[in-house]
Order: sequence, then C-alpha cells, then structure tokens
Amino acid sequence: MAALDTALKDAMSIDGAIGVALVDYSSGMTLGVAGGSQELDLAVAAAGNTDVVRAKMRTLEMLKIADGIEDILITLDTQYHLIRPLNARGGKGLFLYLALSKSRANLGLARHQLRQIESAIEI
Amino acid sequence: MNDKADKTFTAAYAEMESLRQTVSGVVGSVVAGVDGLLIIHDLGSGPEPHDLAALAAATSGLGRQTGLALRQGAFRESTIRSHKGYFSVYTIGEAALLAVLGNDGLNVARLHIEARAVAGRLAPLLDIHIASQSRL
Repeated sequence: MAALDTALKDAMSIDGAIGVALVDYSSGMTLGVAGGSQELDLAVAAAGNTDVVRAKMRTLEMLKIADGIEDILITLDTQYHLIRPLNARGGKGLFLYLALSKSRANLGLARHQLRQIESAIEI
Repeated sequence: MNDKADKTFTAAYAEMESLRQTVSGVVGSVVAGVDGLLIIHDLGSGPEPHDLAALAAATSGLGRQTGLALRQGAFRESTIRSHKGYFSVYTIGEAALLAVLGNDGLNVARLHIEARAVAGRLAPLLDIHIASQSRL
C-alpha cells in the first residue's frame, strides 16, 4: 500500500541503485523518478525502455505465448537494468525501471526487493 | 542560392527521416512557416501536407495566445491527442514550425526528446532558407 514516493525511495535503497523510474508504456512518460545522474537521464531511459517493453510484448504476441512478462534484465558491462511491469490493479500499463551498479549490487536480492516494491505500489 | 537551399532541404529531410525511424508511431512530419505555408514534408499518402501546415500554424497561434494571456512567455510546443493519434507542434526558431503526425501507438515521451533536438538542429538551417525567401 505504499505511496509512489515511498516506493521509489525504497527502490533507491536497494544496494547499488543508480536510478529508478515508474513509467507509463503507452506514452513513455514517467510518473515518478528517483536518483539518476548526468550520465543517466531517467526521462530518456524511460522513453527508450518503453520501446523495449513494447517490443517484447509484441514478440510474445507474435509467438502466440499467452503469458505475461515478470521482468526483463539487461546486463551491461558495468550496470544491470531491471524492468518490471506492474501487475497490481490500477498499475496496468506501467513498469518499474531500475538501474544498478554491477559492482555494488546483488542481483538476486535486488530482483527480490523490486518484486516486493512492485507488489506494494498502489497508484 | 539554389545550391544552398538544396543542401538545407537534404539536411532537413534527413532529420525528418531520422525522427520517423527512431520514434515508434511517427507517421511523418511537416516543416511550415508560422504563416501556415508548407516548407517541406515527408508524408507519403495520407493527410494533405498543406492542411497539416495550416493546422500547425493554428495550433501555434492558440499556444501563443495562451502564453500571452497567462504571462508564460513565447509558445514552444503543443501536443494534441485524439482518439486515434497524435499531432505535435514544435517551434523551430522564430519563424518556422515542426509538426509531427503520430498514430495511436506513438511513444510521445521519446518524440518530445527527439523532436526538440531536431527542431534545435533545424533552426539554423531554416534561418538561412527563410532569409532567402522574400515572402517571409
């Protein structure tokens, strides 16, 4: 039942978190952001990753896999990017985007924590 | 002068093409003067580009009046979302407008990021072109 700001703050408290955003993938607009840096513009990341989420959803449709996306992991040389669509009521059409520093993050733990944050979000 | 204009158009077409390629949902775009006259477009079949140029000028007129009435300064951009698509207008410098037509699936946040950059790059190109036009 966490409010949006609390959820974003919780996400930033995950070890190694660089930035987090809640994004509407019908428009690519952010509903809220926390963290980020000069190198990581979260508005650009949100708009770009909207295309990633849409592409994966289209692919599932083409493959006729009647399943949902739990999360998407993108591994960079120095970062992890985690994308997690919201399943809660009222959260349809939104996803959480979390960027982590690879050297400082525990991926398994981060994924678990993000799942908990996602299930607690209420819009 | 013609050579210079040709180069301007080639560069502008490339910018519009890149907008269509990089932003999902973009159908095409037009560059128009603030007087509503078409300068260039990259729309294939579909809506009449001259109509879009006129709509862009009308939209910017409304935006300008809004900015004046609310004392929020000069018009910068406006997005209209209808049931089946988007129509976004961005200023290019003082005398020109970039209008982008999008379908229902437009990534409008991405469009804002890319189109602002495109308008910024088109501004110096079109200044040269507009200076060479007697009608403006």
